[in-house]
Amino acid sequence: MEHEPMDPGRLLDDPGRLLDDPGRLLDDRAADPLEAQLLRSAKGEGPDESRRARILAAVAAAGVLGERGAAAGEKAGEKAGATLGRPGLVRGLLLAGATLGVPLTLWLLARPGRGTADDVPAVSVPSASAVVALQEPAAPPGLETRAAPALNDARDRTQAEAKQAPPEPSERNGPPDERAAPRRLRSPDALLRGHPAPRVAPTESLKDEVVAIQKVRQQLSLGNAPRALSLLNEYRRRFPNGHLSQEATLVKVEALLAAGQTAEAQRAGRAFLARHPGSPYGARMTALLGDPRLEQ
Amino acid sequence: MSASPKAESEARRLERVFQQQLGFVWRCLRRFGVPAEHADDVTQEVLIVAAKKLELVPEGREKGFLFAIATRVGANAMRALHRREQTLLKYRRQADEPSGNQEQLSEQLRARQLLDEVMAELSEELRAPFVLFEIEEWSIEEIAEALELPIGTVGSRLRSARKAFSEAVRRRRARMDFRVGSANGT
Repeated sequence: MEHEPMDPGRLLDDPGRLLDDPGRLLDDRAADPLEAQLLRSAKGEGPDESRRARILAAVAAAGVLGERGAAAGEKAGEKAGATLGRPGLVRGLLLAGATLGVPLTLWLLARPGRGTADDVPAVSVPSASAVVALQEPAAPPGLETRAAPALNDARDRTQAEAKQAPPEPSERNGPPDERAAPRRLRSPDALLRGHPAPRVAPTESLKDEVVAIQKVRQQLSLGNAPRALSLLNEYRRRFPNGHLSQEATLVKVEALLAAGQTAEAQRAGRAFLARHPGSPYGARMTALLGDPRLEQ
Repeated sequence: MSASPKAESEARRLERVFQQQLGFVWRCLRRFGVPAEHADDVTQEVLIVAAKKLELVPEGREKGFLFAIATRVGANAMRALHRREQTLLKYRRQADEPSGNQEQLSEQLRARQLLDEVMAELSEELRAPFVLFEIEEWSIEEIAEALELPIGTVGSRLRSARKAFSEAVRRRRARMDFRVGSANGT
């Protein structure tokens, strides 16, 4: 039976009903079923508990929540990291985020014409994605539940190829989330006890990394792919164990595509997916690999 | 050194508001076009901006305040994404037609995808009252207050929004019917 579309304005046509009970489409039995289905689909949408916790942890790391808020954020971060069994890692991350200042989101940093100061927070903090990138170890084989099917497909296709491909320089020297050597940010207590220095130099090093990647993205936005690749090489030399290594590889693939070096982009992108199956950059990398040119 | 009682109280409020409204902010950003893979980061940005000024917002008006920030930050994020997409566009597969993988998505995911497409056809002026009324179930008065509009204007925009929404859905349905008909050789 063909559905008779309702008059979309009729529920609001009576001014007398406007304030009392204007009536919503979802409450109207005569509403178009497809319209109702679309609206219902939005109701249940949102980040799950784990992602909520990560967002709050990242906000707490910005230092805008005060002592109590930071504690709540830390708690949220620990909840997010509970499955990892590494609360100290999250605590270290929060401390590092609050004091060192990783970028809020690198892709936002890349935009040349930002809005007003009100539009963008003045603080520089880890993005929710970066929090994931820093705190997530690679999932053990057989337990990679986060990856999307498409990602799994891409990974399956490229496992063998990736074994042949040499890793990015920084990944050779100690990748942030390699299976063999997962990144371990040190807890504040450990820092105070004077344990060995972290692999990446503190504050300035991290800020410099952010600036370096930002410059690469700026060049890419300007369409200067060769310059972007040159700056990426410089980044690799300066930060062989960089915190933003995965971001750098993603940008490199974009730059290679922009430069028309599709074969090299394919190699780098697929090797990345195989080595970092749980990476928060995985979806974006998979989208890049979806480029039909790469299938050639 | 312990925080002052006022700071402590404000921090409690922030914590409560963020816990309660995080999902609301996230959904609003999605309805304003922020892709799901970026929604977490943009939500975080909204909360950070809000945290700095929430103490100036009267109790009970937090949602409108958050919505205003989400609208602005979301628009900035979309502009940034658009610039980035322009750079990569010529290298990417166009996603106008559902691919095999998309066909396998669950009913709900497909509905959300369709909703994204339909909402993108609504102007920002119409989208805001529509989202707040039909999805977030705000009252007309709450919407009028948050958008700083007269109640009559909100009603008028809602009418226009519903019409635009229905027409966009109808166009999509016609297109889907055409595809199904073509596939069946009819």
